[in-house]
Amino acid sequence: MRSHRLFLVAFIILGVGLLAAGCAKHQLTSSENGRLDAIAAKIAEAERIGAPDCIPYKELAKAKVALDIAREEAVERWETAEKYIKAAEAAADEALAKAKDCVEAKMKAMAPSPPPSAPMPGAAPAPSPSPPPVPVLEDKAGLDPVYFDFDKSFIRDDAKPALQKVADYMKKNKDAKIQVQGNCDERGTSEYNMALGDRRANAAKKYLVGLGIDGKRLSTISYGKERPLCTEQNEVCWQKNRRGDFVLQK
Amino acid sequence: MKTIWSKTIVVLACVALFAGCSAANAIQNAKTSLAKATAAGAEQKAPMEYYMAQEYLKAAEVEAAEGDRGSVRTYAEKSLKNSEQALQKAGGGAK
Repeated sequence: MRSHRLFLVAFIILGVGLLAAGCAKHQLTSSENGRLDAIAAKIAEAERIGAPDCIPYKELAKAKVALDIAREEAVERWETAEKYIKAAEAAADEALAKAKDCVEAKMKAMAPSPPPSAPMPGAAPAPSPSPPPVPVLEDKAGLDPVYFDFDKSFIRDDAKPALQKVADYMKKNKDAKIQVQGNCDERGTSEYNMALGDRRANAAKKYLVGLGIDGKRLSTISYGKERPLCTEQNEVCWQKNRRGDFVLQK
Repeated sequence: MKTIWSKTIVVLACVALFAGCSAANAIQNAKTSLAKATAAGAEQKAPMEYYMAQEYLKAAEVEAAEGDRGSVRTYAEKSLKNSEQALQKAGGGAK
């Protein structure tokens, strides 16, 4: 009987001891917190720089997971957290470097080629440069384009009056058929922009259908980044290119 | 007295066995889900979720080797959640 009681007491002491050990949390110091926040900032920076098509997903995923585990472990067992913090730091650095390299490579590829040097005396004349593209003559029936945010295809509030105008025109001209053309700015790959232009054209079409226009009278096409209205590399110019045009179909 | 000890040992053994099994099951479920995501092309269609699922699975396996069953379950479940999201984005999930 006595040993029974002794066993119970030992059991309770052991239980309480384990509970206390389990509940002991490590209080993060401000420098430890700062270290974790610095990694998070690097991850965010790599995502921002790499968007939309230079995002180093593999390295970012590695950094995000290691940081998440580090945050959990830091409270439970700081010693274990240390190895995940180092892994997160290394992965975040790698992600940032990869994003920067990718963006730089793209910028170089997009940079205009240097002007041709003067021909050497006696050298064969250089072939004449190809003529500038002939502007496409399209009947826009006075309809204004709609503009989109970077890498987005939702209809902005400022686009709604232009879309209402298109709907009014189509209601007035019952036989009119319109092609909605999705366009993008130069950033990103051709394939990505083709898909984005398609989403933009379809978003505009869907909005017009919502305004009561028969979807059969609307067709869509994406020109991706192939039909820029402006070729400078700045936000004002890019905004002009991120548009949806409305062209009357014969 | 002997009976109490033997009962206690049996109960503890069962608890340990159950914990071990559930951790191993969690890893297995995560692996299966990741394989489905791979087959659905999630690596291209939902790369962030896909790679995060891979990383959490690796972490679960590391913790399993170190014997931390609680962490194994946590990371295996996070892996599972990410591969399910990847699968859904890749169009291979339940419609």
